[in-house]
Formats: sequence, C-alpha cells, structure tokens
Amino acid sequence: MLSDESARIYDRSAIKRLGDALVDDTTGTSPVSHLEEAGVFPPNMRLGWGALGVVGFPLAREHDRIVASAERKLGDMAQSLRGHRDELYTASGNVDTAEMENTENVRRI
Amino acid sequence: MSGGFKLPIPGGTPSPYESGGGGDLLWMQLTTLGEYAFAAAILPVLQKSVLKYGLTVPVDPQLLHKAADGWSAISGNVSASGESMRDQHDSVSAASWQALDRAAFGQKVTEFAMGSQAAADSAHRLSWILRVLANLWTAWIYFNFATATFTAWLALAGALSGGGRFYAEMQARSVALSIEQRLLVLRNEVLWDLFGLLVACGAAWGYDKILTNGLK
Repeated sequence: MLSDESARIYDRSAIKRLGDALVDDTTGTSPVSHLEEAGVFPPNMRLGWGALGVVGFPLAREHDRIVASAERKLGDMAQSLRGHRDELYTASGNVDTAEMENTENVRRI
Repeated sequence: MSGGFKLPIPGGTPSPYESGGGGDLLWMQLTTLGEYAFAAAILPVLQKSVLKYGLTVPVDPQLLHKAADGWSAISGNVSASGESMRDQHDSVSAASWQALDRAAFGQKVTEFAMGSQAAADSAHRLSWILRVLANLWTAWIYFNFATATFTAWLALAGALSGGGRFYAEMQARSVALSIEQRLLVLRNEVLWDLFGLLVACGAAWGYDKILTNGLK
C-alpha cells in the first residue's frame, strides 16, 4: 500500500490511454467490445411458451426472465466500464490542474 | 458455439444467431399423440397415456439447444471482458502510474473481473442445464414415438385379428374398469401432472435463486 509520503508517478497519457483502451471497440478485444458482443443476445434465445410443453412452462418463463435480467446486467457492466474510463480521465485531468496551479504558484513566488 | 453433446435431431440445431428455425420434432410429437389416441380409442385403458403425453406437447429441444449455445457464447465473452480489463490495467507499469488512486482503481478492476467471472459461471451453468434438458426431452420424444407406434400397431393388429396377449390383457383391463374408475384414473393422472407442475415451479425458483447470482 502506498503512503502519502511515497513517490507519486503520473504519466497522464498512459492513464488516458488505459481509459480509452477499456472502451475502444476498433480491435474487438477491449472489455467493452467483449461485453457488447455478449450483450447482443441471440435473437431466438428466449424460449417462449412452447419450448417445454405444458408441464415445463414455469421453467421456460423463468428462463426468459433470466435472459432479460442478464441483458440488463451486461448493459450495466458496459456502463460501469465507461464510468471507469471517465474516472481515469478525471484522474488525469486532476494532475493537469494540479501541475498548472503549481506552475502558477512557482511563478508568483 | 456448438459445444456440448446433442442427440441428433432432424433438421439439426440452428445457431442461436440465425432467426427462425426449430420445431422440426413437432410432427413426431403430433404423430405420437395421434397414435396414443388411436390406441386409446380401441383400448380405453390407454387413455391415461394420451393425457400424460399430451401435457408435454409441444416441446422444442432445438430451442433449448439454441439457448444453451447462446449462454455458452455469452459466458465466453463475459469472462474475456474481465480478463482483458485486468490485462490492460496490468499493462500500465508502475513507472507510468504509481499513486493512491492507482491502488483504488486496481481494486475496481479486481471487482469487475470477479463480477464478470461470476456472471460467466452462471451463464455456463445455465448452458449446461439447458443442454441436459434438451437431450432428455429429445430422448423422451423418441422413446414415446417408438412406444406409441408399437402400441398403436399392437392395438390395430389385435382389433383386426382379435388375438395377441397384449391386446387380450389390455381389453380385459378396459372391460374391468367402469367409467367412474376410468375417470378416477384420469383424475389421478391430472393430479400427478399438477404435482409435476409444482415441482417445475420449485425447480424454476431454485434455478433462479441459486444458479444465476452472477447475472443479476
């Protein structure tokens, strides 16, 4: 664990790059693109009423409910990755602001 | 995508990403039902079989295989998502970013990777259950088709030639049962099916509560 006194290193471009890499979908290998691939649910994944006969309809209905909640969950996960990207941007921006203020202080002194 | 054992089904099992498809076993189920009904018309003691089988129609194992393939693909993608996030985080070296917020972000990465693994595990379990269910239903359809064809053939042969041990026994049992007794048998069958329905509700409840934590 880092303490406040230990050296802090911020490579702003590396932090931003990490944020971009989380949501980049040009190569199809980023976390978000994997999720989006998963999130595009197969069109006929829902079983409907006729898949398990009369006696199995509670199972078919429950399955379709689970499909709906999984779709929501994957959407939320992708959203949280975008949130992480924004946090990384903010972190990088904070460093910019701190440096700018530091430079101003030095100049004033 | 097409992983897992699949009992062969006429028409194959279409990919979950293709629209339409499925329902190729419906004709077999309807034929089975027709054969049971035909046999029951000759030998009323077989009415129970018509009711018992009728309540499981229509079943479409191809849809179940499709859903199983879909869950399997989802499982792989969700798991890959968590892994790639961890890899990307680890690829930023300590020489580029070393601070308290890095440790906090690392914690989030771990949480995300664990969450995605849990979701992938749930999806994998669902895929497995659906695969087993699809194969059991397929076996049930084939088994009943064979049984019904045989029963209908024996009933027809018996009615035409008036002989045969099976026919004689079934006819004797049909004659021995009064209408009230036959209704009683059918009522008991309905009660058993209601019980089956309750078990299915319980299974659905358990399936939802125990096996899908990662997907909520």
